[in-house]
Amino acid sequence: MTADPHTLAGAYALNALDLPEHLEFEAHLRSCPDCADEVAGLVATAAVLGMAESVAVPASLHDAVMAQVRASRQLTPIEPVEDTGVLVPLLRRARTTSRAAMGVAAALIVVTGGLGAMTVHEHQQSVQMHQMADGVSSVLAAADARQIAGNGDQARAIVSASLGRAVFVPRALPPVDDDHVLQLWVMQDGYRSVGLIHGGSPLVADGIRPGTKFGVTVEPAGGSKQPTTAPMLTMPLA
Amino acid sequence: MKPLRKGARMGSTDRRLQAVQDGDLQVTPDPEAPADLEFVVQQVARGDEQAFEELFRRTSGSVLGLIRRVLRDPAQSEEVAQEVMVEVWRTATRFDPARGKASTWIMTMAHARAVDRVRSAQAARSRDERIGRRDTVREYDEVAEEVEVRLEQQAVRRCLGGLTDLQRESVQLAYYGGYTYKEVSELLDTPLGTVKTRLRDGLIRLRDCLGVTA
Repeated sequence: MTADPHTLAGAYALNALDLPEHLEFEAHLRSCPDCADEVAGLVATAAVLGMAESVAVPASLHDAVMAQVRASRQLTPIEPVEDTGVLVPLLRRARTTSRAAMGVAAALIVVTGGLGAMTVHEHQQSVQMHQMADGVSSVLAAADARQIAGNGDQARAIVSASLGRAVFVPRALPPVDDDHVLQLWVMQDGYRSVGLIHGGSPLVADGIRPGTKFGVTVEPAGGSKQPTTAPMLTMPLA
Repeated sequence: MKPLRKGARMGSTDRRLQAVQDGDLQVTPDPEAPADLEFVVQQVARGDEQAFEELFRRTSGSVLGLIRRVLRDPAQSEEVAQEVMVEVWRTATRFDPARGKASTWIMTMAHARAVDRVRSAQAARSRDERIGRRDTVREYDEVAEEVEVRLEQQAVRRCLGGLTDLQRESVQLAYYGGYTYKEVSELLDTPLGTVKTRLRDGLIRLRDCLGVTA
């Protein structure tokens, strides 16, 4: 981070950072107890602003929520790690053992439904969203998680060789026009589509083996079954 | 026992605590007092649907209200509010009261999801369209009846009034408008560093005015 990270505390608490900056700031929080204390207070303040917005809730919303709740499984509790004294809001971190995993584990808080901008394609079902959240968190919690930067930091990948799973995090990919979309592929004996890249949404890919790479191509809007252009970015993963 | 915040209104529990501190009263549990929200979440974490109904009753109005203010579209707002309340149910097992209040956890989730939805929708449009000013002022005045809500609103209004115009504008654009600090900088034609400072200073002032302890 080139700028003084402390100056971003207010923007962070107001969710006014884009996803890469948000992840970076949370990683910083883990190493700065003073920042974490200040941020906790600012996050709580923003929440008070929110609480004051109370409106009447339609019965239909209540009923829809209760119906979905009855059909939903609750997540298993995570065992708490020993307290390093750094207050990272607001969910417990999963147990991690490697230093590399500790470095990226802060992002766990963002993507498992706590604080951050976990983006979802508008028509994506809740179930898929939960599976993705669990997939991302499993990689971040893995003891052998490694972070890789691609194309001068246009994107990052977090890989766990033991899980054979990788998370792709867009950072500064070039924009495409309305007729096109960026598509993510796993390159291993050919191309397998992972999904379309929307904004800063992370994508999860399984089946990562030694020699596997991520590839990003420009495709027509809606995506393609196989790449129609040469990759504009490739990242060797394992 | 939490110390009374400066300027906090004295609820019946606070009055009794004060009386105990003054040596005037023996503490007896008040069956009328609502349970701590943190305690309710603990019960929800055990799969208690009745507890979740109570949590819903006490928080869904704010969840929906905040999301609506950011997203504006009523149908989408309900969709996102539903996602948030279901996620609260699913992840109650992972809420840790040592790290903050239950209301903080829930409202932070609601705000993040609303902001995220706004940005996803906007990402599909061209850049020129994107920096258009979303209205950050409340259009309608649907308010829940309870006195507590009205007091909260008054406090927020008063404390926002205590910010400089520039701090308030930046905070409102970021929080209620869902803009990134970079977008706020463009909208207000103000340097990035200045916006960052205003957001931080503005929130610090609000924190102190509202008497917030994390």
